[in-house]
Amino acid sequence: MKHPVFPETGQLRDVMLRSLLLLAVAGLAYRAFYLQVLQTPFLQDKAANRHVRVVDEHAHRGMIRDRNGEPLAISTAVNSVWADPTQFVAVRHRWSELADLLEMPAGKLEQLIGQRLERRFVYVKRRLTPQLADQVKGLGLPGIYLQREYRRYYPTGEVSGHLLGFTNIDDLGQEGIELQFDQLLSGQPGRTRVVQDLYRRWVQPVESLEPALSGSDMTLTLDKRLQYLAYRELKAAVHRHRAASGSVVLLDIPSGDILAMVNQPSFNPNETSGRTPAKVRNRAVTDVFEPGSTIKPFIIAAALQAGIYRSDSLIDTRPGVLEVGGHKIRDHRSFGRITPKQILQKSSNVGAARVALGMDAAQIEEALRSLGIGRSTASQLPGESDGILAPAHSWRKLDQATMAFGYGLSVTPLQLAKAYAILGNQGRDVSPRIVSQPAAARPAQVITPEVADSVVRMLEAVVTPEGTAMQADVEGYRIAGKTGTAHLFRKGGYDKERYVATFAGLAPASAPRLAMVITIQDPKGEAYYAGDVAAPVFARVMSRALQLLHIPADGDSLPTRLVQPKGIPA
Amino acid sequence: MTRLNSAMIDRAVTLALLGLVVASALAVVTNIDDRRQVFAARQAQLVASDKADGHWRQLLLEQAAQSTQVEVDKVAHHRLKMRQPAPDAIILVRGQ
Repeated sequence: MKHPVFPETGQLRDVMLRSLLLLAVAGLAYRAFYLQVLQTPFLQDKAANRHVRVVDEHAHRGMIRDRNGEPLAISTAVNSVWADPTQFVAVRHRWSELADLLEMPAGKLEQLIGQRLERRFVYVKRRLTPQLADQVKGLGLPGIYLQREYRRYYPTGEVSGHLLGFTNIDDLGQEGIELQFDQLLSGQPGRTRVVQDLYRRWVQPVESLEPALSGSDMTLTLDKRLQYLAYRELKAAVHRHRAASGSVVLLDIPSGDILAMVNQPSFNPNETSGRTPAKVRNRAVTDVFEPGSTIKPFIIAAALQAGIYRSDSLIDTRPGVLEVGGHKIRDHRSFGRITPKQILQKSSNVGAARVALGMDAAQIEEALRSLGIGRSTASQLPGESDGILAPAHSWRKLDQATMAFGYGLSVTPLQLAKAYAILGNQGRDVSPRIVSQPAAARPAQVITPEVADSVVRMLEAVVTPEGTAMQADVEGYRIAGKTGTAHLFRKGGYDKERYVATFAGLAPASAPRLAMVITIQDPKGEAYYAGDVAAPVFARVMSRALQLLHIPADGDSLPTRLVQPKGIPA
Repeated sequence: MTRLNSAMIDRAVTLALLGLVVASALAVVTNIDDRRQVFAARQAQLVASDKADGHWRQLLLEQAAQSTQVEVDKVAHHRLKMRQPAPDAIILVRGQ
């Protein structure tokens, strides 16, 4: 074997070279191991943080429908346009295209975006219709994006604004049904993990963490057609008589369903402007008023029930004036000795006061309370007032007398409608309700069927030429009802010049199905009597309501030609 | 002889296990891919259903707007020339 010249040197170099290379490889291997294995969770996290987000998935708010399934409130997706000025500035010459499409003044866009060029997100216009949003997308402008938002629409607008209420920008109920049933209506937003790009657009959903749960739909007892009808007639009457406000409540007697509930003044729930408390308030349940003579039938019913009078008893109202506790109670003229029926027909204050004074105060209080006067009807409408009925032991003689014609106690229109519905329901209790529910158990008997029926018969006499509410008459049907014209109570006393006109009625009187209350506050025209102001509204709404609900005519006053069809057994 | 046999069995078992490991690894990969595809398909369906739902809501609103009493009255009175019959023109047909 021949040895090289410097075998050690050669060997040494060889070894060093190899070790160096080995060391380098080892270093790289370790780095790779460190990154790939030891640091994986940390690094993956970092990467994910850049692109993976957990986003909320929108849950639709439930729909509100009327009793026939017609939508009263619907949430729909709308688009908002936003711009990334850093990109949008590149196409400055095309800005006018967008401005024209959005019907914005030329300077507005310039001002909106031109002054925010360093920003990356500027709303251009919020909540467009889907059609317009598509057009915006069609322009293909760089730096213009659409963002999905949700908006609630109320197809009936101002007609049902008080009842439905509205939601705020976050889709939370603020008033009315929207507020009362917010829990039920609002859904549970879902969560989804998504991969996003630089502009926060979803590239790809990765996994669903929680599915979105839509809110429940609700069906109300309202009938959209009747609601509209009542609103139209009330609005016309309030306008014609230059009244301050008014309400109409229409109840289905057997079920207690609220078929219509409208107020004036009103507001449009689709618009955020004009929501003053005076307009938004659902007066039919929040506001109380003195019912005036509309309370008389209940005093008569209480007296009949207690056996103090019979329906043919005679009450002396002569000489048309009655002095109680130093105050004079007056009728328009002396009606002489009259029956309870005539007290109602002529709306005799003296007669009603005499009847009331013939009873115990406690008896009257008990009778009124059992009809739901002075107690919320538990209709599930927010802000419902209790009304006012002082305990009997605090009444003076005069209070007891004036209460008989509706002063010294206050009711809401809904309470009054309920009380009349009980009369029409053969004395069985009626629980007004706004949400369709299975009927409650057998309702309590509040008044005996005989008394209730006989009072309804008496109230039919009111809607005749001899009564005070001829204008409430509906052709082909028998109508029972009562007018009430009360002085408005203002600071310190009753205003001699201002009134609240009320009409409460039942139809068809032979077997009442519908109860309606109309109240109009402070009419400033020539007419202020309830018979002239409120009764015509009753006739117009009721005649259409009876037709729309297919309630057979029971009238005999105008029996249009009656035909017995052949082939149908009699 | 027996020692040789047992060594062969050992080897066979090892190979079989190795095969199973590889197979399960492949299965995991295909599964993940499947899941991704199914999820993407579901998401696409959700988007489609969302879009259909949005359209449906729009149509409901449109229908509600077209069927307000004002619109119905207008069509009835002006286009179809309908009117409320006078009381003496009504014939009541009483059943039963």
